[in-house]
Amino acid sequence: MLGYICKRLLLTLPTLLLVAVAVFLIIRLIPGDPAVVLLGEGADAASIAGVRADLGLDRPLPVQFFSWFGHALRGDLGRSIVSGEPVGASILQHFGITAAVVLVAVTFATLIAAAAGLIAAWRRNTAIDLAVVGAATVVLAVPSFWLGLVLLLLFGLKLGWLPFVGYVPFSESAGQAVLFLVLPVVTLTITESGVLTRMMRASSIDVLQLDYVTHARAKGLSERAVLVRHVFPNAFAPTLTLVGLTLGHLLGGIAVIETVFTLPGLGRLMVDSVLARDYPVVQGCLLFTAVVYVVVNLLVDLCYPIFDPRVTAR
Amino acid sequence: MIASVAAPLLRFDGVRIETSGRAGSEARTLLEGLSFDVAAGEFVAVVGESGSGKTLAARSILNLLPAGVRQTAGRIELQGRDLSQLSAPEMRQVRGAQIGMVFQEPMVSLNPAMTLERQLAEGMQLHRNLPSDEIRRQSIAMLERVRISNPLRCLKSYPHEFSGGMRQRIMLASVLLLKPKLLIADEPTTALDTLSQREVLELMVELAHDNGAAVLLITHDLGLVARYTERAIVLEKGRLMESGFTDEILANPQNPYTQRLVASLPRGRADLVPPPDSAPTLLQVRQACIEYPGRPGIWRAGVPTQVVHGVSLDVRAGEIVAVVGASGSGKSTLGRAVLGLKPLAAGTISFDGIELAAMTAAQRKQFRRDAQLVFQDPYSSLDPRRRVRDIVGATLRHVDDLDAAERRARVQSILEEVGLSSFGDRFPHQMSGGQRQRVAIARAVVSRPRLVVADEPVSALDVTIQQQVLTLLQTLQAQYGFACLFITHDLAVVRQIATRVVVMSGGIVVEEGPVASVFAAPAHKYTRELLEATPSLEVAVLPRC
Amino acid sequence: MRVWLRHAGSGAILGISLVGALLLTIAIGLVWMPYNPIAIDLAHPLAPPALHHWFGTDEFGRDVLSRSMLGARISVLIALATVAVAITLGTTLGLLAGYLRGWTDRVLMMGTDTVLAFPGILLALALIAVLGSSNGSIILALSTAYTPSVVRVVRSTVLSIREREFIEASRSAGDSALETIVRHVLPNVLPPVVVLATSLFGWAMLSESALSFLGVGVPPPAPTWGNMLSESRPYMDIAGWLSIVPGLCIAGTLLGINLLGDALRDWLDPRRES
Repeated sequence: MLGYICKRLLLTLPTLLLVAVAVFLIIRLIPGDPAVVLLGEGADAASIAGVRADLGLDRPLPVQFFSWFGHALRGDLGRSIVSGEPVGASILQHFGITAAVVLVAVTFATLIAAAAGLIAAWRRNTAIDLAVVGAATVVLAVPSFWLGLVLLLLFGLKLGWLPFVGYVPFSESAGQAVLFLVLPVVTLTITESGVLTRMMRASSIDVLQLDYVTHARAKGLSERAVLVRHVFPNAFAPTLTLVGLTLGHLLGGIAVIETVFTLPGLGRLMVDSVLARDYPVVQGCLLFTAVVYVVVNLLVDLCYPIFDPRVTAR
Repeated sequence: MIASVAAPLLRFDGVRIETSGRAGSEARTLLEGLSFDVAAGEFVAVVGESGSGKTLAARSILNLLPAGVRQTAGRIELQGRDLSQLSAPEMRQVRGAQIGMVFQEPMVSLNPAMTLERQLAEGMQLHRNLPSDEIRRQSIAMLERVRISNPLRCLKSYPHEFSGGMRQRIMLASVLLLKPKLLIADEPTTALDTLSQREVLELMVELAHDNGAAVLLITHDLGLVARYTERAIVLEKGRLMESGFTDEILANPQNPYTQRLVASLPRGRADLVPPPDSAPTLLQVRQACIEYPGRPGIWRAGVPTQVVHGVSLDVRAGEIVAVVGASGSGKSTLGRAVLGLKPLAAGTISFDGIELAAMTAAQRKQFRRDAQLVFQDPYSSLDPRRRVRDIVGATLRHVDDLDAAERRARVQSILEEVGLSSFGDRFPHQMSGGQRQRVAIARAVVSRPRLVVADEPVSALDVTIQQQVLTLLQTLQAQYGFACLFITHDLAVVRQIATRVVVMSGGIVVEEGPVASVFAAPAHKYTRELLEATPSLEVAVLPRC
Repeated sequence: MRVWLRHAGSGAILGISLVGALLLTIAIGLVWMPYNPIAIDLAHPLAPPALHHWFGTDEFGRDVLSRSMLGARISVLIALATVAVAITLGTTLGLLAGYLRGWTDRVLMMGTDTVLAFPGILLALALIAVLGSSNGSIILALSTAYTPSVVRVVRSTVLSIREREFIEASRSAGDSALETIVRHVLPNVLPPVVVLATSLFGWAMLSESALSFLGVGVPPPAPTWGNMLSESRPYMDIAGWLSIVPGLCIAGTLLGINLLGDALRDWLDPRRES
């Protein structure tokens, strides 16, 4: 088991390194003087010279990379052109909001998908299965931003039940903060449960046909025991991988939902900084989200043996 | 051993099983009017090939039919109680405690995500109200009984840590812990090699005797039926063809299908003639060593595993040599190496006097014409997206001295010889396993090779089809005179087809020689064990019970 | 074809109808639209759906139906181009990685893992930041984001095909590696690739709408359903149809594509592998 953990950890390091290189190079792809690019057109010559010295632009590229990387490892991702704030702190602040919405929504979506997918597979080709598959298919086709707009229209504007614009930080009022997050969380939950349900149903169907399920029934176990103890752990494993991938991506990418509900999350930060040509922030966001993705998948990989002990043997 | 007139343990009475025929398709009858008895403590075999309905019959006892399949008529009685009338909770009481079932595929018959302790304890917790340390004690005792060394470690482990044979024994332990009155064994050893097969079956018989349990053995292997059962019923396409005492049925089959089954068993032939001494040596293998590269760790390159170690053998022109061994003995790898499909780590292989490694491009091209391979799996050896004509003609594409019309003619004539003359336009998925294997043979023979390597070509086929394909191979060999390296695990087939045999185990040759003398007086312990473990009608049956 | 229709469930029929409707709309739109999609008519802003304007008008008086039709064309073209690039590049790389293994495989896998570490939208955003906002850059950005998925799928299909005995048979008949790949591996890789292409088409349309919604996609005044949705936000309470119509178009199209993809997958799978 320990070997498995170490192996997984070591395998992520090259990916992280490559990610850092990629992020570094993307900015260098922009035509023009990188220092001017980083500071913006209107910067004065002294600042430009200062940044050039900082970045060591006269030094060879690999050296520049390591200097930037070194700073990044210490948490120093530079400063925003637009606001002058340190990029790192800004990212963390925005990330907190994104993480709150994503973690809650994915948890709910996983619970729904696990139950719905398992039951649909168990009662395959009956009305309940068709209903679940139908719902999942429709949900897959509905864009999250449109769903958000519709929910906002319905519950926010027309019915006035929930606030929908902006955000109140937890530190000010927990109750209010939660209210503001209900609609975004509901939107994301619905959107993500579609693909997770289909995955769970497909793997449950596969597992239900295997001999050990028939063997469990042949022992005299009740259907409930068979489903919970034998089918679920084995069917959930592939869905868990998908949950990991989804979580990893969403933690960086719910820009559209944040836009609809005007939440100051990480996605929104990225979009705004792209529109404003605020390259240090763009760079910082990219690096941060990629690292989060790799870490989340690592954690999921470490949980996998709970559901499928065979992976540690490989 | 005569079944008592009093209520039998298990009775099938006019049972019919159909598909439910939803969504426009008609209901098909899969099993029709099946009636037979099993007395307490009796060992009965249900014999049939694929599609005979034997597995469905077994599953219907415990009401474990797959979705879309139902029992529509007849009764299945356990000691007089009609099982199909039981409510779900009552049926759950019967399952496990009264009737236990062992399945075919050891790889998927145990839950990979649950420790063995929990799986063994589940049935006990359900049917007997015993404290957990008592359950543990009994589990350990039973594991020792099925000869698992270190039962304590076994309990804490997961199924994937054990081999197929061990898993089947653990499965037996799990089922027999509950001391059922009837044990249903659905092809319990089909997926195991010959030696494990024997171990598991002997154990099953012992344990059943201990508990006074009856055994319903579902199988297609007549040799096992002969050795381990007292009575047998024969099914074909859902109908009962014959039933009675095993000895009588096998010695004197009344029904034409049973007769065909018994006749299809591979038997030695008196007319197998080895090639004359003047025949030149075609294939020479000297001290061949083949390795699989190891899996590299983080810090070091992988340690390679030796799959074949110092193997030498000769094949003369026109000779049929059998290579026998269990899975993992290296025989398939050797077969691939002979054709140049796997590189040698050491040693040489020469064809017609020229070393494979030293062949020029032109010599290699000729070699590809002269040496062909027939694969084991008829479902994987044909490209699903190509028609039969293209598949068979593939080798001819590299033969220069035939033009397109001649190639087509050759392909058609070989298809006629294998009995598939109108199949040229079909795709593999439109054909049965036996037909596909005939296509594979046609593909191998069309270029008039001088050596054909056949890797377990009939292992995946039903018994009657097996005999057809073997006979075809022998006919073609007699006609075209090619040498054949026949790789198999089945000694009975060896007796039918080969004049010389090479026995392999663990990557080395343990014995070789003419078939008759090796089988009559095996020198090596492994060969002896193999011979004893091979059930067949001609080998003297060991006393039972 | 008739065999397929008989087996196809209602899902496939619905899918074909929806996709058919889309293609029809685009085809009609090539020659005729009720109004000029970018013509501003300040006399009739925010008109609700009525006889003159079936889907109403937006804040500049532009006809929503015509804009939707043009938007369909633009979105579909971008999605098609993206799929073409991603599938071609991804299949080639996947074939190489899967068949040749060794260093080629390892390098390609590291590359795809790196690209996959970035959420698709963010990667597209970053690339658009670099390349500027135009149809071409959107296609490039989305193709880059999706090619790794294609490489992975093709690679894993090739890995499983490689183990099948008919590949060995091809080599033992004398085929060279290239002949084997082209004659045997490629035709067997195509079915999963076709299914993937339909899914990819759906994702590409969705991503393009999302990017346009965020304001970094297709630049105005060219309409796409995404930026129409974005522009509808300030007027949501008085002109609800502006938010409903484009969203329905996206959802309907995606539903059709998904259903079609599912039907395609079912048709290709059990028949081929009996």
